[in-house]
Amino acid sequence: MSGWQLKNKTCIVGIGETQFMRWGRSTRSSFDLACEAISKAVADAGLNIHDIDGLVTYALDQNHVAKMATGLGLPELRYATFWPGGGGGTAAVIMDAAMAVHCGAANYVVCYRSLCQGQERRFGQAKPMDVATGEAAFTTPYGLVSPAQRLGLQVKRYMHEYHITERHLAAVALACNKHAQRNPRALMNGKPLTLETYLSSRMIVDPLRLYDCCLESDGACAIVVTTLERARSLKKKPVSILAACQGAGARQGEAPGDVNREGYLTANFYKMASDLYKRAEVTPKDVDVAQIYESCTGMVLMALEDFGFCGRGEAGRFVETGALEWPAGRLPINTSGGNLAEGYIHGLELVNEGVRQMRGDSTSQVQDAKICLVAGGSGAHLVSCMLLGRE
Amino acid sequence: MSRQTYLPQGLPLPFTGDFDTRDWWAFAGRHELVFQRCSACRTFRHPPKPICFNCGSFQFAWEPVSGFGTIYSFVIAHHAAHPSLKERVPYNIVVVDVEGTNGLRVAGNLINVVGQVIKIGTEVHATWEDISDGVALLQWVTAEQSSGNR
Repeated sequence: MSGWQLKNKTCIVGIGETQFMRWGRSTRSSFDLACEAISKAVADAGLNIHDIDGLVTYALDQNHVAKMATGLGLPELRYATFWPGGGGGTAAVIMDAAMAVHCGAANYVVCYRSLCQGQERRFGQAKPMDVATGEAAFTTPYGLVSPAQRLGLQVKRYMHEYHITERHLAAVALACNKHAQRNPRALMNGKPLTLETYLSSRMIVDPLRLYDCCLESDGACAIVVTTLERARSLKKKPVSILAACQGAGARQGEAPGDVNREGYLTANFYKMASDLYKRAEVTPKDVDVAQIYESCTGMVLMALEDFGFCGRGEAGRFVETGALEWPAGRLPINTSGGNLAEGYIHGLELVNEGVRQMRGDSTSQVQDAKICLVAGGSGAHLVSCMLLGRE
Repeated sequence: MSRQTYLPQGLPLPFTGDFDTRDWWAFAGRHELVFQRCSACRTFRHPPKPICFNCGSFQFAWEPVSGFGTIYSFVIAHHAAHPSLKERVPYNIVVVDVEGTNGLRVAGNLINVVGQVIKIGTEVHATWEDISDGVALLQWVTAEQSSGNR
């Protein structure tokens, strides 16, 4: 696709986050945490909260834009969006904000996500419902109610088709956990994972074990987006947004089942990945580091194939040589620990880590990293991705 | 009235009054296995929808199928993601490739298999579980133990 007008026009100028906690551990409300993350991001950018004139969040956030704008006392809101996907919103909210500031709809847009799974609901459990409506009527009565089960069905077929083993899934979990050991903010910091512990951990939904599944967490993240032009006068060196994509492939579904999706053995980036590279005018070889949303390990393998880091069906061989591990791997991923080991703030913590990599201050900093991929929602109905660049 | 079903009562029941899907549930209630098929391009689709994803036609018919299928994928759920399943885990969830539909797949349970002996590619046959009055769930049994005839 040609005609992408946003290459090096917009950027991230501030990031903020709260402490990440296991689900249910937060003694403060998710609204409180959202306020903290946003305040920190605004301060990080060297702005005043009254400079913020746009707010964007995504599905399942309890703190709607109007509530936040009111609570924060924003004098005027010029841009407000609630993106419809869940974890797939990770890069989509940044893209949305970038488009808004580029076209002049707003000056400084904050993307945020606050999540208290203890106060709201646990994502690993069935959605509370009296009856299963629409497409859920064709899945829920079979006990097909959780993301791990839905994705597990894809992973099982993927393993069968391409001779992927539990050790290949483990490679993803081990890399993320290893990176968390260097990140004092990570929930799994101080809890190193070995292959033996991985293999002996309980099955959640065979073929996925405990350590294949993401954490359930409480916490919040926020990011300030503006134009590169405006960023020149701010205190932090901007991180450029090279390109972004959001949406889905064909028939990705809406219910937990999605068994008729096109590209069943992909992470749903199989179409947008080529758009992403074209928009940024780069190739997979140019990507130095990646933050890839993991609700489970298997979807990361499919995402690696979608983004062309290896051929279709070759992710197992790609990861078994340590490609995902900092510092020597070809493509260190989730360098803060990611959803599996840092904290699960619906993926938005991956954007913060992408920004740290481009600023050069990650706890697992990839040397001379110039381009970072951030992919949100791997395997979700709606997904998104972006390429960040060092200015 | 107690019912013998693969999963215990307590999971949300399917809402069978949805305008897009109620006709399928009416067939299911009578234990008739049909799928929606586009009258223009002949593509099968499921769950039911008003428009064909392939050609955009609104015209369709409910077409009976043989009832055979093969296991395309499966998982064994060990963690109870719903409170009603706490005493029931582990249980299986299967994806069945439905014969004669050009690759239409449905989710279900393989209800005559105990333990973890399921294999991808196993031939299965449709069966029905009456889960509440007038509401039946499409389910699957291994083909050699089914009453289905070729």
